[in-house]
Amino acid sequence: MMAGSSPPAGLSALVTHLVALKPDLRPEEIGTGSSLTRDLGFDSLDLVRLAARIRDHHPEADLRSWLTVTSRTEIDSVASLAALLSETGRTDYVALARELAPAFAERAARHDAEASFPYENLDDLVRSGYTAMTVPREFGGGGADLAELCAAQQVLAGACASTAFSVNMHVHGLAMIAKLGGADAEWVCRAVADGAVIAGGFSEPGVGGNWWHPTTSAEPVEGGYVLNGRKGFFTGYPGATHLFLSAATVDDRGLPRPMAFLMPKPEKGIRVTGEWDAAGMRATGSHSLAIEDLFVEERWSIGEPGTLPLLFMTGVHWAWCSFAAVFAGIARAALDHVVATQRRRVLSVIGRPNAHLPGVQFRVAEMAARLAAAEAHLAAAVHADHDTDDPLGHYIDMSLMKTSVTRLAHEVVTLGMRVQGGSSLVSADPLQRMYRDVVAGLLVPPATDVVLEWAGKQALDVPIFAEPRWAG
Amino acid sequence: MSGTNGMATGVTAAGGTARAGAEERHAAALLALAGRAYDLAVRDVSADADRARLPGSQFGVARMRACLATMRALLARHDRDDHIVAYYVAGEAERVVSLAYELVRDPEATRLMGDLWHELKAARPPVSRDLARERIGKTALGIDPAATPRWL
Ligand SMILES: Cc1cc2nc3c(=O)[nH]c(=O)nc-3n(C[C@H](O)[C@H](O)[C@H](O)COP(=O)(O)OP(=O)(O)OC[C@H]3O[C@@H](n4cnc5c(N)ncnc54)[C@H](O)[C@@H]3O)c2cc1C
Repeated sequence: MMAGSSPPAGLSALVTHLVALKPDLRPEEIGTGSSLTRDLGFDSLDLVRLAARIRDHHPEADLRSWLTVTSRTEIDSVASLAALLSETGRTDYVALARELAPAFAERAARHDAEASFPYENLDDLVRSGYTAMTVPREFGGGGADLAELCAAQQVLAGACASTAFSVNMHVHGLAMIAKLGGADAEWVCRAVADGAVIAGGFSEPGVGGNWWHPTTSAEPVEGGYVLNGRKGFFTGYPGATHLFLSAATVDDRGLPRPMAFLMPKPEKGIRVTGEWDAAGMRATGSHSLAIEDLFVEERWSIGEPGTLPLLFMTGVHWAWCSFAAVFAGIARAALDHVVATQRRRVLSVIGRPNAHLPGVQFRVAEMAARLAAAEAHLAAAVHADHDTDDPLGHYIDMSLMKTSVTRLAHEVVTLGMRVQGGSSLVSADPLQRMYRDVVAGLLVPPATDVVLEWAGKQALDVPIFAEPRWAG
Repeated sequence: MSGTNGMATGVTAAGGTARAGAEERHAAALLALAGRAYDLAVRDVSADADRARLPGSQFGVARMRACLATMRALLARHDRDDHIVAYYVAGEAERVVSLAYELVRDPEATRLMGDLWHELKAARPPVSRDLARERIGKTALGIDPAATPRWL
């Protein structure tokens, strides 16, 4: 592989095809600059078989144009064919979310009523490749960017917010790890491309949403660490194959150094102490866990010890934008549902659909305006420049966006309840589920009060981390 | 009987684009006023180190920041054919100026804030708030905003 530049998207898929046709080729010997004919020994018959195989796997690939160019230029490099593949066979994750959504919407009421984990939805997400959306293409994933992730998640959330929120922990967490690069990222990405599902646990009963202060201890031992502590709100735990969690070691000065670990779900050392039974997001399986003398091999640690907060801050757009997308998606679905109901519903004393009532129109207008504002703010954050040399400023901007979007989403759904009237409280109306689910947007990190404090201090030029925190 | 009455609602095809432009300009003007109120409040609070270190001041400033960021985003990305941008920004600008008003102490800053509040309330929207609300609601509900009778 060429040093100093990243492998072209499509390379991993192409290498798989080449090795399948010529099993004696070793993947590590296939360089992007290798010529298929001169370096890898493909004769014309091999090329025909390769073309047939590529046609089978990537029906949209236009091999004729590639062959025309190669015969004219005599450039038949691996890179040129990988580039062709990378442009084809790309999953449209928003379209995929739309395809999956109706079945999820149908199952949502049952899972909500029973507080059961939607295993079948997760199976669909894995089987369809949705869970590999944020795996970079060179590792066999979809390479979706933040905009596509958020758009797809909005669609899923409108169908089943619990499913969307559960898989959100996986897709955004993976994107943040992938950004780290190196060996840590590569094995996780490959595992996810092969069907692994990650759940993340950073919150603890003792620290609330202050995830950068884990009280779960990581004691260094031969070959790794022994973890002890408690985790709360471990969304997606029942369906996860891998766990991403925080713990802290102690440095030479006795100060805690937060660390992150990502490991295959262990068979012992973790115990469910409380199954998720909540008013909202009931199908997320956000269980409480006890971590008891859990041995974690050194190789499962992610990033350098102590760098967890920085790692999170620089990749925070993946977290807060995708969270906001879930709640904006609920609000959009609520508006659509309210509109559809009010266009249909006729009260005998009124004689025409409720949609013709001024009060209904005014409240729907408030819903539509707030939703447009929420979606615009989310879009602005998604498309902002995320390569920043001011991680704290970036963190605050993204946090303010999440705070605004989730507040607006909550207002949209609350207004919707008033438009629908008392019938919206009845369990047969999906709006009451959306109402319970959308509240979670106000409660999940970042804690609004901390966001307001930090954003206010920053604007007023008050040192954010100075002690005492406030005057008086 | 239902019919279409462009006069009653002020909707005409040719007037649509001009109206959209006027609404955008109105929203931009209100956003600018809200931005000035924010700057004034931040300057006023920052000048007093103790007040700047109070949570109430910090939260107030942050709330304004969040509102302004949403307004700016909406102004940059909105559907030119609806009334939402002017409608939303007007409501939020009022919120920002009101929050800013609560934060200032300096007499001159308070007087300037009064002027901003007056300017904000005096700025007439191209389409009244009531009419904008009606049209936004009807459009969302799939009802022709120009149809009459306007209600039941
Ligand atoms: C549906 C759902 C799913 C979740 N899934 C996950 C998950 O998968 N993984 C995960 O790690 N976590 C998850 N969380 C948990 C979340 O990250 C928070 O940790 C959790 O909501 C904390 O709740 P709490 O009541 O303990 O405390 P908090 O909500 O953190 O705080 C309680 C109160 O104290 C205030 N407060 C907290 N800290 C401060 C501070 N430093 N300064 C000032 N005020 C403060 C808050 O504003 C709030 O008023 C989930 C939460 C929900 C609701």
